[in-house]
Amino acid sequence: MQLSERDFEKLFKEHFVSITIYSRKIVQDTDTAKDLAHRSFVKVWEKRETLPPESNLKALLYRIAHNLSINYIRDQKKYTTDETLPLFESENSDADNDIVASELEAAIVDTIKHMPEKSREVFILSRYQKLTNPKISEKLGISIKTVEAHITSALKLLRKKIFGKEKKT
Amino acid sequence: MDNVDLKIPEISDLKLLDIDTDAEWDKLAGELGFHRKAKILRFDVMLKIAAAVLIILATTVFIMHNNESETQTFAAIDTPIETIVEHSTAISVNRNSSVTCSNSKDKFCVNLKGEAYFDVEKNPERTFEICTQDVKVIVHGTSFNVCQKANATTVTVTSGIVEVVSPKDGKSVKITKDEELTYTAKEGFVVKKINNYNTIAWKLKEFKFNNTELGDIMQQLSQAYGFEYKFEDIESANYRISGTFSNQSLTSIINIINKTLDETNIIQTPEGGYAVVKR
Repeated sequence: MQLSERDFEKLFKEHFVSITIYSRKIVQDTDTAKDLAHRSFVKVWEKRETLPPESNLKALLYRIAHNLSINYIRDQKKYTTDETLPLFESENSDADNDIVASELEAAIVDTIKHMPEKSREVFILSRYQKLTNPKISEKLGISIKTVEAHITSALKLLRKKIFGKEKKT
Repeated sequence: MDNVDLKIPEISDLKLLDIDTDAEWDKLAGELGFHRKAKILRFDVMLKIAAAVLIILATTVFIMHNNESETQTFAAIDTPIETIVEHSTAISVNRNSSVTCSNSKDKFCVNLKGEAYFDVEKNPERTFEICTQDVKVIVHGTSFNVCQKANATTVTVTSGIVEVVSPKDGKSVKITKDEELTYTAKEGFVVKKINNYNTIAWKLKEFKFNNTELGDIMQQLSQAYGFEYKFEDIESANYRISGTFSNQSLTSIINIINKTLDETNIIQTPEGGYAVVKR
């Protein structure tokens, strides 16, 4: 199929993070997943001329990322007896659900990235590093009310971006 | 706090927030041997300087802080960008366009050069205004597109109501969903009903063609995706096509159009544009 550099760039920018997240579900490590996502895109680009004209590139990307990730795990197992390595059962266990979940997570990542700087900082401390509001207030030198306001506005934004509308209160 | 119960899924690793997609793309583009083409920029000198800085930084966003007057500028060079201001008002800035936001107690003011799409959060305490060189647009919680090009400003509303004011004589016009207003110094305000949003497909990613001439289709696609095109088979510009494309890549739209054409073909040119040729 014909695939211009520009369309390929668009494809990359649209799906790189979600493919990384998808691969991470299998390999359990973000850096490895990023690497595998890169290789998935390289494969699609190299294959482009042999693909039928209306190929679903997104589906293809996920399939390649899936295979690369499984291969990676398999290779790791050859060289280690580490029991903690993730187990990957059947070939198509929950691939579709995983794709949807990866895209949702990528949308959340994208929204958080684009939050105003202070809101983002407060939100990450609160949500992901599990600090209490008084702790955040102390750490950042802002009032508890301000912390609450940042969290409220961050959640509002996520709600709007992820669920498409605001919750009626 | 009514927010605590909201089920927003966790993200699996905070490292994901550090992924810089533009930088990753540059890495891949380098690996695959894509060469960066020189971009033709059509805006004023200040932005050209910004663009130069940008290309060096290999990013498409330019944000400028000015502490004294609290202004922020967002400029998109080669791809549209999206930014959030004022809690949850989303502004998408089209390529070769910029917005400068300034904030005061009772007003949030945006200065627009080029084209942008706004999804404005309702806020009764502060008005949200957009100024182009021709008109002022007053907003009360709606979604709409503003495009200022060659001495004309076009406002396209996709939800709610927008008020457009001419600073010259203070005349104002209110327009609503499915209406498009164009302002030129010569003709003043002209409002027309529209039945598709093809002109703002750069943002909505949706095209509706209803017995539309191929010439118009190519023009709309080239605007939305930013490419050059030429008709080598002049006659084919009159062919009419109907169809709806939603969230599809340019390549797949072109492929589908090609299937409906018997004697002509749209092919990619070595320069990255498209040409319409006889089969």
